[in-house]
Amino acid sequence: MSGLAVAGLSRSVGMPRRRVLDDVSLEVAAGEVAVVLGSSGSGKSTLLRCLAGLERFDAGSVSLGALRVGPSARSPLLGQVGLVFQGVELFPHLRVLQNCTLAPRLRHDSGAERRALELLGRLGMGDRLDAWPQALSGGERQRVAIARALVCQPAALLWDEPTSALDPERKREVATHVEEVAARGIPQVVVTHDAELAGALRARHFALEKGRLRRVDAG
Amino acid sequence: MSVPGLVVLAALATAPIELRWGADAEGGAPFLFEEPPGRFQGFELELVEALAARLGRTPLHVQGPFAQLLPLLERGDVDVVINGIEVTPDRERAYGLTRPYWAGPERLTVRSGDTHAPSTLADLRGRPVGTLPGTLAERMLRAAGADVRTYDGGQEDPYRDLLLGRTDAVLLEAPVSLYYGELPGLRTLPASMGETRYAVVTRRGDAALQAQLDAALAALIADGTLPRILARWGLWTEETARVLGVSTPSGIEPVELERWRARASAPAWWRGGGAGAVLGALGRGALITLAISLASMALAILLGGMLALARVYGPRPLQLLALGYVELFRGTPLLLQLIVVYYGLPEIGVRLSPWVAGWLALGLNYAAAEAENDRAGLLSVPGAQMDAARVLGMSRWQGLRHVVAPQAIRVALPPVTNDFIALLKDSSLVSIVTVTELTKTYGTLAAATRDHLGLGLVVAALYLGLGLPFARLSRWLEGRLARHLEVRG
Repeated sequence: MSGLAVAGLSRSVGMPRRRVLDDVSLEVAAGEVAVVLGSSGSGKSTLLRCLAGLERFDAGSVSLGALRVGPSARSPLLGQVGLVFQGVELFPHLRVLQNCTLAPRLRHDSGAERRALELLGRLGMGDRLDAWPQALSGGERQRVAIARALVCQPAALLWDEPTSALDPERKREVATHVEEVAARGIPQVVVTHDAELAGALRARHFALEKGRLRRVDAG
Repeated sequence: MSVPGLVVLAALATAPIELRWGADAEGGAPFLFEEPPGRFQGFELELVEALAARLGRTPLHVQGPFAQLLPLLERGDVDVVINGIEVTPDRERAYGLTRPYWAGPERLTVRSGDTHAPSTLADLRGRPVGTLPGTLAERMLRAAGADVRTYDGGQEDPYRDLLLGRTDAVLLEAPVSLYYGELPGLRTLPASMGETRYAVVTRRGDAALQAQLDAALAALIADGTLPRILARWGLWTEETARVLGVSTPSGIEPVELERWRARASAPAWWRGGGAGAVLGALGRGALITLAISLASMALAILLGGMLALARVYGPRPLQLLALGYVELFRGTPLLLQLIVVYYGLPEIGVRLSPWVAGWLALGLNYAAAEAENDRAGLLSVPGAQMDAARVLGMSRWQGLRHVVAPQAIRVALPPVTNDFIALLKDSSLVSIVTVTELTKTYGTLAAATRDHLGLGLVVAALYLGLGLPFARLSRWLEGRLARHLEVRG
């Protein structure tokens, strides 16, 4: 498993142009975790969307193992990088297992169901395979979202404010999940403003302010 | 040339060509009416049959609404219009009119007990007077300064309104007042208020046909056929004798008029043996309504879906194009669209059959509504759902197909059902392009049986019967699509 490398990433939006990401560089090795702390409007969402391939950027590059993606291209990253959305975004019209297998099934990935069952079982969702997302608690939904992302065997996993939708007692579980994923050798970026979560993770810490990323400690 | 060859040639030369004639059977007696269902009769039907026989052609009736008969002629859907069309100077300029086949007086009908009833044209100034639209009587009333009320529904309507006291008089030509104005409580004045004439209408450039018809009319007058027809229907008048140049036919009883009058005391349609035929005709009308509605809705849903996708996901120019389409078709009357598609497009060389024109106009119109329903559905699904699908490696199309659309449909479905039921009802408009669906069938039968209420209730039940199963189906589907929302942990 290889790492995620971001080099000189910049992105401007709007009229007049406003820099949302300004020369952001970041390297996350396999199995390593980078925590990005930032308030809203700091460019966190844009950074994650660029890394996931949902948004293009103006300059710099994103490398994922042997895959190197420059500006103007964005789709090569789609499907390669997992993202656990802030709002989780399970598909409400599909049951738990279907949520995890829809995308790989459309790619005729025959091993997907087996992997989904295994992951859901490991995450304690083995008895909720046929439940509707609506019927799940916030923590359960997030576990399904993690399984859904991992079934696609992403080269990296991104987390967008993973504790924001959870009860306080559930927040602790997030760190456990991140570490389990790290144990699989997947590089991860966790964007949060939850200091408690940041402190609980064995990770390098960065702060994003007005589009500029800087290291805040030696993790 | 061989003998068999000659025989074929001779057969071709004598093969009858159709004489397509336009008339509105909803107009009713004595011109053309359907009674019992499936059997047309009327003095103009007899006239057409005699004319066609003279021309060596087969008559073919084309049903069209009265107001659209002349447009149908110009469009080339019919060769002639024979439906009590009065001779006026502007019609003589715009069309090829034959010599008159009938002439007679305009008659004023009033309420029997009305002591202030008008008796001359001058009396009508400022008073509410009923007539049929586009008639000479209407012009006379406007010239006389009357408060003119015109009725599109049928010949009986102005007389019913007079009886109800909504108007003070009705002015119409003698055949109409004779067949519809003799209701109990009404009185038709013997004096003539003016003379009017009926002629066969052909297209302006169709001089050959016009000449043939004039010759045929002359022959039918000379051999007594036309006078006999008019006398049997009780329509012979002094004016007709003068205009046709023949004396009054002797010894012919107005048997058809008497039969018409006798029907007033005949049992209602559901009592006699005719109920099966009436219900059969309505059933056929209902099937046509259902068929054209289903076909139009299929087009509307397909096109509407594409328009909604263009508006929500398309590039800017496509978005604007779809928006323009929706505004245009939503913002203009369906009736206008139907008339433009059927009568307007031929002017630029696009001639559509009645069915295709009706299907297209309804489908194009409802596509605008469906596009808005679908757009509302698509917008109800958070954008992050598509992001989630894309991040998992689905293409845009896959995300739409498997993630967004299934959620959007739940929102779009109830208004779609609503629109389908509205479409079922709006499909009655296709009668103006000669498709005889349920409402037109009703109008024709009601004019012939003079039972507007009873038949109206039957037709209402039929419309409900067509719409309700779809409403049920939709509710069931809604329930299924909302399954995932009903569960609670």
